[in-house]
Amino acid sequence: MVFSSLTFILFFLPISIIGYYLLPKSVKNFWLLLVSLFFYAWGAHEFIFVMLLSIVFNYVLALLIDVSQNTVVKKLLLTLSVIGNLSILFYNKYMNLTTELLNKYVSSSIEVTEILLPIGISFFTFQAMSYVIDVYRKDTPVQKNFFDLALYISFFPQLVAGPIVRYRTIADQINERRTTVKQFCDGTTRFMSGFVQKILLSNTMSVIADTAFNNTDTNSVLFAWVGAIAYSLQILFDFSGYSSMAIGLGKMFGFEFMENFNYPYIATNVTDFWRRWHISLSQWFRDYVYFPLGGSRVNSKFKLFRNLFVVWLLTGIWHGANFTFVLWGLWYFVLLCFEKIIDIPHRKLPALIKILYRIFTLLCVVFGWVLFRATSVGAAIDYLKSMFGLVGNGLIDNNAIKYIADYGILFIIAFVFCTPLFTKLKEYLNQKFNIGRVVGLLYDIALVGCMLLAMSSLIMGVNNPFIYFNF
Amino acid sequence: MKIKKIFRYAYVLPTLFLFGLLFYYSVTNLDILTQKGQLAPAKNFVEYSTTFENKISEGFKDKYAYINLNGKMTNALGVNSLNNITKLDNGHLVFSFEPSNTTELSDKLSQVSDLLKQDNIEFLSVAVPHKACFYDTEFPAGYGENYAYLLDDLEKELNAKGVNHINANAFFEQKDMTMDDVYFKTDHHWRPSAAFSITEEIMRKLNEQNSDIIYSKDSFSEENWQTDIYKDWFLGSNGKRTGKDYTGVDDFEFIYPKFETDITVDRITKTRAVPDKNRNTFYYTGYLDQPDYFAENSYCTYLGGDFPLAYIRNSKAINNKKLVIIGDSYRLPVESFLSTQFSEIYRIDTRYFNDGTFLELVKAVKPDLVISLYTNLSINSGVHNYGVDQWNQNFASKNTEVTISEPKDISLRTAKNNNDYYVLKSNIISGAYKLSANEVTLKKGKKQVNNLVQAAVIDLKSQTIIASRYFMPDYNEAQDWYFTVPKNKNANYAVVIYNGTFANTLNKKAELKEVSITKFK
Repeated sequence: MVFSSLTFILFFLPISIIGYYLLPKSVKNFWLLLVSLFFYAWGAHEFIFVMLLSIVFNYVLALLIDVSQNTVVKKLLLTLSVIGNLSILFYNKYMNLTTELLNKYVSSSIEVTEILLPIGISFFTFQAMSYVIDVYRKDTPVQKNFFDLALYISFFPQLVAGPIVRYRTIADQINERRTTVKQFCDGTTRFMSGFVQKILLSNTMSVIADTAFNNTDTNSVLFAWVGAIAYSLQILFDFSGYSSMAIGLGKMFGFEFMENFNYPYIATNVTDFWRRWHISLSQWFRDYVYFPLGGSRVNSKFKLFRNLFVVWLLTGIWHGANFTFVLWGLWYFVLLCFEKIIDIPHRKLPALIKILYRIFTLLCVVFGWVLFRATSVGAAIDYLKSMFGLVGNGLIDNNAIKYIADYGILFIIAFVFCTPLFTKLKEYLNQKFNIGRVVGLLYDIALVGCMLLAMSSLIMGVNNPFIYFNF
Repeated sequence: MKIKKIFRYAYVLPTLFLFGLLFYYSVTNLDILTQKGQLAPAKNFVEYSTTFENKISEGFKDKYAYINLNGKMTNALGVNSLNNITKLDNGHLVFSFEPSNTTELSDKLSQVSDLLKQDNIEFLSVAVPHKACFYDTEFPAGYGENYAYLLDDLEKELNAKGVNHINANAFFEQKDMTMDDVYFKTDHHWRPSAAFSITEEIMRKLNEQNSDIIYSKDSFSEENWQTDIYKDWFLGSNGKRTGKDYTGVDDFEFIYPKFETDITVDRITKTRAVPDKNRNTFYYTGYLDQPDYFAENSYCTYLGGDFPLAYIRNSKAINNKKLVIIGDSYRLPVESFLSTQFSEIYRIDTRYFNDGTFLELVKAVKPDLVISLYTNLSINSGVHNYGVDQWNQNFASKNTEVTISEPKDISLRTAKNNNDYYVLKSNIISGAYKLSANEVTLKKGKKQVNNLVQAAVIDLKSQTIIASRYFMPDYNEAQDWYFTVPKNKNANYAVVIYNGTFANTLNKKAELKEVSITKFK
């Protein structure tokens, strides 16, 4: 099930909320666990066992780590947890690719597997692993109630597409939370905002991006750029929209989740971009891979680059079983190394250079998305070449004219929403004229209108893909 | 103070709105869960969950209000396409069109024309342009080109192959008819008035080919036809996908003769034979009671829409001739106009006709002329399934006809069961056959009724029908049926006459005179 579906908003969400608020406090968590498992099972019931296996596995290991007094045993248990979690992830996500590669390059004759990818496995596996590691590090007390831990791992708002929630950030909230009317209403508006982003912006951009990426051979230079930009917008509003929905849903049930996006396309440099994009993932790798390797506080540049290499290699691999994702991760490794070398984030630069570097950052991000979106490394290279006219393609074609003419206004709206312009405008109007509440009301009315429009798109059955569902 | 309070608590409004809306729609769409058959038994939980989402969006309460809203939004953003429909600069809606090669079609039409010529049957092909191929179509920037050349190419090929043909595109251009004159804005079909013009051209052309076919200019004059205009009445199939506010709605023309006719229709629907309730008209005037933009298709006022087979008779027609017309839904208004000109019309839609091939039907009914009328959209579709290869292989290549069931009169008792039948001949082996009946009548008591009598080839073991033919009971000529029987060791095929297959033949008595079966060898 996905949030942007009629099944979810018409049936699942109302029933979940009604059940939650009607039931006594003692069973609320159990209700949430039940609906979360149902949410996961809907459309993919066989994968529920993978998630249950992960829950049981991590629950037991965390308990054992907690009760053990022996450091060596604790370390062994932690190692077992990491290996076990990664094995579950490897088997379900990377086994197909591995058997193909072995057969191709090592001349083995292993039967090629056709293992289906359980939805959200990358998210809940990392979430579960972080819990065990935090117990080991004593950053968080162990959760002895199996159902509460199960709820943490399987809670439906963030189950399939994040944010990757650290147990310690919501440990208290599991048993001690109260939902206020304001929080609930904030959750609703946040959910609606994400819903609108996903349906109206991301889905529309996906039509353009799909046209471009499915016709690499015939794209003009202009349309190749239009397609790349459209995909950049699609993935942003797809993912940040879903995160907003997840955060909004969490609020409705009294949970406060961390923000996962912070206007990444206004980043001043690549380092800044990764403080704004999929924040929960980059922090996860920072805390569980980068820092344990030494982070930036190492005594040689080689070790620094090694650490960065490991993180970005793993980041790429995490996103999918395709070399394009590995290449995408390593692309950022190269860029971040470059920034480390010239120390861009800390330098005081003239305004013009800052602007140019910002544009450079954005271009690098767009090129990265081409790698991310392409179905193969060869296809990615072809697409990038077509963006510069290196495949004998013309400058302009019918598709470029058509999509720019038709969707120009929507592109402008999307660009505006990539920035905090409206938030700043609201703050300014409030400060200057003390009309924050009026502006807020107008925003809510506009949001309601957009929600109706977004629902109309769903009802019409128009294109509704979901990128990060594949992770 | 009160206003300040309102603003202070205004943040609850979106929440109240959202959940009010969701609760309203979850309750009003609950019938998706409770109505039998809405969710057909699924093989597994995954299939069930997928079906569930699709069914909700298909049957969503107030769905059309949302389609209209979406159309309004798309208009406001200046987007020229929505839901695979493109809006041309002149406001006309057209669905996506892929050009296809015309050579295959011209070959088929040429083969059919040659075969019919052998039996002295006139043939006329009429190609109507899809909107994307109309001579003055202009797409918005970047959306594509005009495909009018396809109609010109087809015309050249057919002329070279000696097939009589009307290129409706050239006709419209010659008459300076604009897209507004020819097409509905919100539908892919043409206007009845444009169809009327082409019908007159068809009669003129037929008369030119064969002076025995009478064409009277007077019979097409304005004085002899009534045109009722229904304002803002019709939202076509393209408009149903984009909403009534995307480009508006169409007026609908109902054109019918002022002069006297005596028209009756018998139809084979996709599932059963249903004689028309009102014998003297064939218009589905129910669509003209009140407009229902999304639920109804006013275009089907003419003859009710596409059926596998229909038989139209008019004893007061100017031409005492039999016409077979094949094609797609563009035929509908043309057939209604032609029914005033010809005493008998068989209309066949090979997309839905499963009781043999087109040529088998033509050979059986022995028409005077055949018209194929289609839009070039359906060039490679099931519309052009003429069955030439099957005819040549099964019948034309055989030299002899051997009688396997001697002519006999059959009088079938009144049936009490829908599935009652009389076995005319069993243990039929594979091959090509012809069944002939000199006379077919159907009576209720002593009164003769006009309904259909069905002959069929069935497998007696599995009771499945593999071929069938509907005989017209008060037909003045001998009626034939060409059919083939496949090879199947496990089957016992028999030729049967049904008396009571359909509710309307229950308690009626069928009589067939001199029924015989011959085998082609």
